[in-house]
Amino acid sequence: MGQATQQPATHHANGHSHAHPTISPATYLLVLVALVIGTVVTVWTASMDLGAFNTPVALAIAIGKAALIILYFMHIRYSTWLTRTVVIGSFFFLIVLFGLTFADYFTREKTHEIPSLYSPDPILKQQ
Amino acid sequence: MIEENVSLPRIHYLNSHYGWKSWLFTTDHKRIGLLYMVSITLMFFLGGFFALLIRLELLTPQADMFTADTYNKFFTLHGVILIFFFLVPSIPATLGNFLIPLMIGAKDVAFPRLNLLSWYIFVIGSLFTLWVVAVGGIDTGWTFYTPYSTTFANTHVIAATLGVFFTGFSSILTGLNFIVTIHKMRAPGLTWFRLPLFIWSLYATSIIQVLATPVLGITMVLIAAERFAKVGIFDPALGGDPVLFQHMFWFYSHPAVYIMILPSLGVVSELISAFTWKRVFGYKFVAVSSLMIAIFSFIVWGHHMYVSSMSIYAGMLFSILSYLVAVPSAVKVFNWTATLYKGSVSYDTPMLYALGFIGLFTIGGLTGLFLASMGLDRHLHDTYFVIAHFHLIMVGGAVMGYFGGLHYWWPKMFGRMYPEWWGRLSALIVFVGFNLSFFPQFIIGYLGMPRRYHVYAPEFQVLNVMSTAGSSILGVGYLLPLVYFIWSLRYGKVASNPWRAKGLEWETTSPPPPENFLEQPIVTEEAYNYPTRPAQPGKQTGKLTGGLNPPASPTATATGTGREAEVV
Repeated sequence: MGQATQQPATHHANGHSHAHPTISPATYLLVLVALVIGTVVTVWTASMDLGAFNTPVALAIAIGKAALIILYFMHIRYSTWLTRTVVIGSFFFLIVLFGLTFADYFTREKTHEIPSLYSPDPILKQQ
Repeated sequence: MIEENVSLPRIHYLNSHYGWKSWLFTTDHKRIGLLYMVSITLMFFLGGFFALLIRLELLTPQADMFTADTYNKFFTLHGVILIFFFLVPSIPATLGNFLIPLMIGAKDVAFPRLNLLSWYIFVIGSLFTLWVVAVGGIDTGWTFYTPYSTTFANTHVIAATLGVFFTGFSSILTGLNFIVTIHKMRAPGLTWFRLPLFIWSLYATSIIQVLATPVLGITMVLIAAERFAKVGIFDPALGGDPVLFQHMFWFYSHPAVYIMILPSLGVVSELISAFTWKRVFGYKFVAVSSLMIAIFSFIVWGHHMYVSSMSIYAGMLFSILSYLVAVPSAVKVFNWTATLYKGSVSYDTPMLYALGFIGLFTIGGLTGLFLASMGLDRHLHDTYFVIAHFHLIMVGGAVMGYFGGLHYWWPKMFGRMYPEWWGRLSALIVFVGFNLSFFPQFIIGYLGMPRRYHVYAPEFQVLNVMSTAGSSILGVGYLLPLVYFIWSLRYGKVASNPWRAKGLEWETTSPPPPENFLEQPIVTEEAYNYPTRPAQPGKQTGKLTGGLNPPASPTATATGTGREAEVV
C-alpha cells in the first residue's frame, strides 16, 4: 500500500511548484478492500455484546476507516505539512467534541449517586 | 478636516464597471463586501424591529399587545435573524471581505468566485428565513432546543433550520477563503508578526468558522430528520437524548460568540492604535491571544448546560475551563489600556465606539464569569441576567466594534467622510441607549425575572420601562448612521486618509482601484510603526480635540496618506 509516482512538477504563474502524485489503481483497490473488511468487522462487532467496550471498539474501527479515506482518497498522505496540520487540527477538535461530551455521559450516573442533589428532600436526607 | 485638495481617483472599484450585472456577477472582494453590507443591514433593521416589538410588549406586566404565541415568534425571529444573519457575518463578511486583501497587499482573496458563491448562499439562507417570517414564524427560540423543536412545535421549524443550515455553508466558505488568503497571498515582507491585529483576529475567527460550523449544520439536519422521520437521535421515547442536542448545538454556538466578538476585538486594536497614534502595547501577546480565544472557545460550551441534567462532574470540568477564556480576553483589554497610556488620544467617532466597546466588553466579560460559576448559574440561569450579559458581549461588543470599524474605514470604502459631529452624537446615543437598555436587566434578572416571558410580576415594571426607553434611544442611535452614511455617499467631503493612519490599506487610493494596488507593495516595517505625533501649539494630548485629527505637519502633502509627513 502507498505506491505513488511523482509526476513532473507543475509550474504556476506565481513561481511556486506543486507535485501532483498519481496513486496507482492497486493502492486504491487495497484501500477499498480494507474499508470493506472494516465494514464487515463493524457489523460483526455490533452483533456482539462487548460490555463497556461496545463504543470504544466501534469508534476505533470508524477512526481506522476514516484514516484510510483521508490518507489515500483525500491524498493527505501526499500533501504538504500545512494541509496535514489542518487535518490533524480538525481531528483534535473532533476529539474535543467527543471527549467532553463523553465526560458528561460517563459521569452522569455518578451524579445521581449524590443524595443531596437528587433525593426527594435533600435536607431531610442529609439529617 | 485635515485633508485639503483631495480629489477622488478617476478610476476606482465603484465606477470601473456599471450596471446591475457588474454587481451581481462581480468577483471583486470589495464589491462582494458591499453586497454583504447591504444584505446584513436589511437583516439588522428587521431583527431590530422585532427587538423593539418585544420591548414594547414588556412595557407593562400584562399581555397588552401580543399573545404568548406571537411573543414567542417575535423573540425567536429576533434571535435567529440577528445572530445568524447579522452578527456572524457582520464584520468578517463585510469589513473582512473588503479589507483583508487590502491589508495584506493582495489583489483579491484566494478564491474570488467562491467568495461570490458564499454571498449567494447567504442570500438563499436569508430568503428562507424571510419566508418563515412571512408565513407565520417559528417559536422555538433561536436555540431550537429539543424535544420542543422536534416533537411539539407547530411552526416552520424545518424551513428556519434550513435557512440557518445554508448560512452556515456561507460562513464556512468565507472562513476557508480567508485562511488560504492570509496564508498564501501576503505581500513580500509581510511576516506573521507584521500582520495587522485585525488580520490576526479574522484568521482566528476563520478557524472557528471552518471547524465549528459543520457541527451546527449536522445538528440542523438532525432536527429536520427527527421531525420528518423520527430517527430517535434526540427523542428519549425512541432511544435518543435531548441533552445530546445541547452538546452539539453549543459546540457550535459557544464558539459562534467568538465568531461575533473576535473580529470586533481586531477592529478595536486597529482603532486604539490609530487614535492613540501608537503601536499596540504587547503586539505579539494581543495577536496570539486571538488564537488562544479561538481554541478555548471550543472547550467551554458546557457552561450553557449546568441545569440541563448534564453530569455535575462534567459541569465542574466546563466551569474550570470557562474561566480560562478570561485570560486572553483580559490580555487584550489590559494591553489596549496600556496603549492608551501616554498616547496622543483623539476622540473621533471610531475611537468613541472603541472606548465604549472596551467598557461594555469588560462588563459583559466579567458577568460571564458569574454565569460560568455553577452555583451562581443555578440562580441566574434563564433569567434576564443572562440576557443582559450576552447582549453586552454581542451587541455592546460585536455591534460597537462593527460600527466603529464602519466609521473608521468608511472614507476608505467610498472616498468620502461622514459628518463627524453626527457621528460622535450617534456614538454617544448608542452608548447611553445601550446602557439604559441592558443595565436594568441585570437587576431584574438577579431579582428573578425569567427570560422568554411576556407577562411578569408588577414589581419589575419600573426597570422594564427603563429598559424599553433605553432600547428606543438605542434604535435612534442605530438609525442615525444609516441616514448620514447614505447622505455622505453624495455630499460627504472627499477624503483619502483623514486619520493619517498606517497600514497597507491606507497606502492606496480611496476608494481603491479595482485591483487594489497599482504596484505590488513591499512591507519593510512592523505594523503600527507610528512616529511621534507632531506637537501642536496650544493643544494637550489626551483631551477632547474638537476636530478630527491634529493637523498634518507642514511637509505633509495632500495626496492622501500623509505618510510623507511621517518621515521626520
